[in-house]
Parts: sequence; C-alpha cells; structure tokens
Amino acid sequence: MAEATLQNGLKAARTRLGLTQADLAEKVGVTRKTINTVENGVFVPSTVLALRLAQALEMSVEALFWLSGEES
Amino acid sequence: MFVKPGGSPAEIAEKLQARRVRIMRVQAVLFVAWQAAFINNLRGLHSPLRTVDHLQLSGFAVWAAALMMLLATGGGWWRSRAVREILDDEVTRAHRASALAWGYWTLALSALGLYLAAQLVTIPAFESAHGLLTLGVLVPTLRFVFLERRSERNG
Repeated sequence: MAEATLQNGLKAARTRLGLTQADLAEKVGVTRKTINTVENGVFVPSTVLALRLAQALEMSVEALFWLSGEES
Repeated sequence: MFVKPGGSPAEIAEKLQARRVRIMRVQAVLFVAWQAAFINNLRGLHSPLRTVDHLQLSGFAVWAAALMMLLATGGGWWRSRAVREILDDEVTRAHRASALAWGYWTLALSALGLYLAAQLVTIPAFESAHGLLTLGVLVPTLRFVFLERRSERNG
C-alpha cells in the first residue's frame, strides 16, 4: 500500500481571505517561511500548528488538510 | 548593519531570521577559511605553546562555541519572548533537528575513521580534537543555513 501524503488547501484558503503569507504568519505566530513550507508540502505541521492554521483561516482542520487519495 | 529592527514581533522576527542566516553563512565561510591558515601554521606551533598560540587556539574555541550557541538557541537573546518564540518556530526547530542529526553522523563517522586510522598511524590528540570540533560545528551550521535558505525560496 502506497504511503499517504498530506495535502492542503492552505494557499487557496489564504488567498480567499485576502491574506499574504506574512499576514497569516503573523496571525498564527510563526515565520513566513513556515507558512511557505507548509503550503508547498515540504513541511508537515504539528497538530497544534494545524489547529492554529485552521482557526486563523476559519475552517476545520479536515477541510484544510487531507491525505492524498481522499476528497478535501 | 546591527541596527535593531523595529515593528511587530512577527516583523522583527522575520528580519532577525534573515540576519541570522546571513551571519551563519558568512561565519561558516570564515570558519573554513580560518582552517586553511590553521593547517598551514599547525606544524609551526611551538611546544610548549607560546602565549600567542594559546590566544589563537582559545579564540578558535570561543568562536566554535559561539556558533554552537547560535545554532542551539536560534539567537535573538536580547529580544522579547514573543520575538524569540516566532524566531524559534516549528520549522526552525525541525531544521535545527536535521542539522544536529547531520552533525551527529558526521562526528560518529569521523570518529570511526580516526579510530581505524589510529591503528595505522599516530594521530595527535590535539589534531583529532580540532578536526572533530571543526566538523562538528561546520556541518550542522551549513545544513541549517541550507534548509533555512531553501524554505525561504520555494518552501
């Protein structure tokens, strides 16, 4: 069985709210590079960060992150 | 160059982070350059060491310790807690963990190499320690700088 990878809709959700990476970083309390790496799938965030991101983007974690092969 | 950046904690952390990477990159290059001079002078070291040799070697040890401190703590020592927390966020900690793992394997493999080589040739303890210290500082620093710069560029 192929290993599932984490996908996310961070960029779409962020741009929907008219936020830049820097804006979102400030809301969540991380650096812009953290938002950049999560958006690009380079970094898998911790549960705490995922919850903070979802809260800042007014979404559920499940809507923001999903495993490859699953519907968002 | 070392003017304290102003703004919100996030803006300050952003600037300090970029500065940290620049400093570490420059320091790593200087650290390597200094090795060339050190190796050239190694055979010329007096025994017992002169005061100037002690100063040079102690200076190197302080330099290595400062780089280790910067890597271990992330810097921003005189900044507020809020700035330091952003400066040492999740991705930074992950980069540091990766850098330290690289450092561990570099040291372990170098020590293994020295262990095997010591059966064939005499390796002075001081030179071994110097080589291990150099690699133990340089490799994690370069790895950290690489990861930080990559995450800034394209994630």
